[in-house]
Amino acid sequence: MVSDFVFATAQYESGDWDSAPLVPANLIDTIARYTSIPVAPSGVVVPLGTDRLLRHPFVWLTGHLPVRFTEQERANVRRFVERGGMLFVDDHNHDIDGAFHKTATEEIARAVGPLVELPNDHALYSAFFRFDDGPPTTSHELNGWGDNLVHEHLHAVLRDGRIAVLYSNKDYSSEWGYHPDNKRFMSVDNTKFAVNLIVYALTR
Amino acid sequence: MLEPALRIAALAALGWSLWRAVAPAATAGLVVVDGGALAAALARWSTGAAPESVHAGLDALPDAATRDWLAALARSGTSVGWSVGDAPALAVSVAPVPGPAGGVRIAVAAPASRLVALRDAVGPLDTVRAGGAGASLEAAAPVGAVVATSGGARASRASHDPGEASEPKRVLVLARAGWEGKFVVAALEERGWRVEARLAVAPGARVEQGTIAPDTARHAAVVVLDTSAAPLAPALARYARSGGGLVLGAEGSRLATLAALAPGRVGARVLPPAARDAGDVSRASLPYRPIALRADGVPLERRGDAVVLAARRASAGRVALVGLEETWLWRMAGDDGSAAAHRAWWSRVVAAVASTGHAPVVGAPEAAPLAAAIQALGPPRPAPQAAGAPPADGLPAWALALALTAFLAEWLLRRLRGAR
Repeated sequence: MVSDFVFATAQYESGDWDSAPLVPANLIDTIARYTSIPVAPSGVVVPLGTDRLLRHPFVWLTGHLPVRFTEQERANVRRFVERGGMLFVDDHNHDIDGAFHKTATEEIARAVGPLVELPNDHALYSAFFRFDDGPPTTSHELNGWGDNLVHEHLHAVLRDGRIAVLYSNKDYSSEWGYHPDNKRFMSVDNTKFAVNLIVYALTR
Repeated sequence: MLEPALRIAALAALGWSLWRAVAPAATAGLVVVDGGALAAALARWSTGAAPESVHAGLDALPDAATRDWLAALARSGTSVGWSVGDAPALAVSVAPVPGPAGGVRIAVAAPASRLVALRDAVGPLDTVRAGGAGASLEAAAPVGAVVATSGGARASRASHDPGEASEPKRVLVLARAGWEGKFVVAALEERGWRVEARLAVAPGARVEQGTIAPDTARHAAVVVLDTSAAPLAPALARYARSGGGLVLGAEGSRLATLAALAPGRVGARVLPPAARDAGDVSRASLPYRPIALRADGVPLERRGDAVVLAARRASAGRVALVGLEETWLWRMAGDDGSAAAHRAWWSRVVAAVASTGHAPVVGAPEAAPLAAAIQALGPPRPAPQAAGAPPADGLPAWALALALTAFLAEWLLRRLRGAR
């Protein structure tokens, strides 16, 4: 038996880690819809400060509020990354001057290193679906909400050429925060990029 | 008339005893020579008349030239025997270590507890004490032949010249996209293996790295973790039978074509009690499927009575079966050394079956000189009486008694007839 992929949401002491509760179920639906990857039907919440983090090599972290890791959380994130885990951090504010962005990027730098711009021809963008222009834009960017910018790139901390931490200002947490049944009302499934994230994490 | 006959009998008995005492063995057809005189004796016998029988009493095992010379002497009609002093059965082998770090593994066979000195052309390498199964050590790159000596035995084996080593082969990993496949690839790459991989994501969709068709010229080993390798199963079976190394995960061994090659069959999943704890994950706490071994399966690792890693030879190749599951958890959620241990363990499993690409060296009698000497000359036997030495039992008693009786009888006969 091969263990199923379990979608894990990071729980941290500060901020509002549970600001996008519909995302896990929606992305689990997407993984099952497009791939043959065995996926657990429901996600889990893993506290960053516990060893449970290390049992889930792909973890999604989001929020609006300032992020301050505890010492234990910071050490665990460092250990998680060093052993091959991938942390995907999404700014739910979609605001480059927002509190989440400033504090989260500081914490990432403190825990594992500074973020760098990820080129739009990175393997992430062809790991399953092809995104020739880099990260897909979100409706929140196009509507001019938040910082009124369309962010051209994602940012990452790389370890041995592999994405260890991926950071997004694009607010995928809002973009993907709906019930999966509502995909049928969309002309284009806007969660396809999540497949690339998961496939990349599982294969690189 | 009787008196001359008795006198003749007495003199004959004395003469025969005296001849037995002083006549050299050579005259009986046997020549005994020691190791120091053997070379000159062989040269002499090769250019002149050879004795009927020769016994070489050696201090050390004969070198190749001496051994072959004695064998040639035996084939030319001389009976050749030999014996040796302190010369234990000693053998040495030198084989490249399959793996990115290279080097060679020197294995020594010797009687238990014997000290064996190893050296190469540059100088001493090490001294090892043989255990029940001999001894072995790894060396980076010995120069010239590796020579093992113990007592009067000396074995040597040419080492592979690293300068002639071909490009290291790759390892191919076939799996479904998942944590086990990802971290097996990562472990092998981090350990220095060059890895090619095919990770199945969806029907018709795969993440591929490198060349996927299994090939003994390209791949040292192929790791098949699950049934996503089904389309390649016939090619994998051919690959293994042709000399390739195959590592089967528990699920991969369920492919019928590969099951026939596996060293056993996996059973139901067992979850050790430690696996239910929330603490560090260790190799001992990983879930596993016990392996029911085939007759020729060799257990490599156990959990209690259960075999969790086994291997067997399949035609020209080797096949290992891994009963442990979710080894990635050991790397991710183990203690501080678990990532390195996970890397080392997977590297060892692959190395256990990997082909090195070096053809085995055949016909290297110096690697096992006692065996070579026995093959050429027959088994050693105790040294017979040395040439020229008196018989062990001295002069024959019966001959002396005969001589004495004949003299007394002849004397009595002369006294009875009044003669002096």
